Amino acid sequence: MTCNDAQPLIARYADDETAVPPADRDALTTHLAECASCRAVLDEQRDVAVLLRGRLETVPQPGLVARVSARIDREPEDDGWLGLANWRAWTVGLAPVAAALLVAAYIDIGSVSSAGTAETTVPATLEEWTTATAPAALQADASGDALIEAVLTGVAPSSGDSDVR
Amino acid sequence: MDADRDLVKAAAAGDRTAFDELVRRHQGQIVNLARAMTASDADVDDIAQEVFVRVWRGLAQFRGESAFRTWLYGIALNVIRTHRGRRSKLRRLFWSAPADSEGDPVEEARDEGTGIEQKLMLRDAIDRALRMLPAELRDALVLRDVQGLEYREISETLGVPLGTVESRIFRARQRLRPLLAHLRSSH
Repeated sequence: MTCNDAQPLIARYADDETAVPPADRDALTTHLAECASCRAVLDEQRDVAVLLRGRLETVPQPGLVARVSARIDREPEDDGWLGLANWRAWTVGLAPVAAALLVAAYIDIGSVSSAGTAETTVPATLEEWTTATAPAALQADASGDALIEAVLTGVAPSSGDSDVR
Repeated sequence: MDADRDLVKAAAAGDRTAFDELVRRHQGQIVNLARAMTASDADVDDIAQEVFVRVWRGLAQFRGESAFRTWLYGIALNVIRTHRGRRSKLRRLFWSAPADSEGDPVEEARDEGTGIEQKLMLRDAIDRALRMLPAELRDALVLRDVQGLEYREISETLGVPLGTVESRIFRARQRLRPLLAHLRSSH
């Protein structure tokens, strides 16, 4: 057994020699008898383990059971503050709205870019396009309820509801 | 046999008394794990609450293929990782100071104090040193040397082979050792 073979086994051997499979244990024991470097590594592993195991345990603040119970009653299906970090939920929830925006933009962009003329090659500016194609729910002065409804239903109001300028 | 099996079965059927007993049994481990992983007392209680709330919501889907404790630890590690990611993003957005700007944890723990004060400082130094490890090494090492899980249970909790667990624990201790050198010499 080489040092490279021995070292992956040393952590477990340091914790409990009997936990290492017999064949590996015999080979490791033989190697340790001959290798001062690996014996030093074994001591290092044990030193760290002993220090960590002596670490003072953190105890719960009193009343944790009651706080958990109250939180379950208060937030039956809510992920709490950690839900804000769940970007996947937000992405899935907003995907239908994004799709509806793209469709609305495709329908409306022609009328915006050719305002007043039958044919034009001048595209709308981003501001003109955004203002013309954004559903009412996403207009600057839209109410919070309208936005929430759009997200929850996944449906943006039809282009007829928007204010085309 | 899983010692929690009967309680889990009752709690999964909606028995809140059984669930409260599960929380009572495991709250110490989860709080201790959260503290060791975050090196901060501030969010430990909130993290522990979140863990058990997720356990409650997920009990109906728990099939019992692993021990309840293994499943519980898996949820706890996910909650802690989410918490770490959120704190890290906030730190990058709003703070220019590095994460560990409180000073050398090892040096602080060398100060003499009363017995309990010294143990608290030692724990703080250990937890802050653990934070300096790569997450995957820290997870394995904390589960083994702080929480006392067996290697096989760590393998199931982390979803990695036994050899990977052994390797991570080995490397974690080797990396941690110089960070704790002053502590070992004074204790």
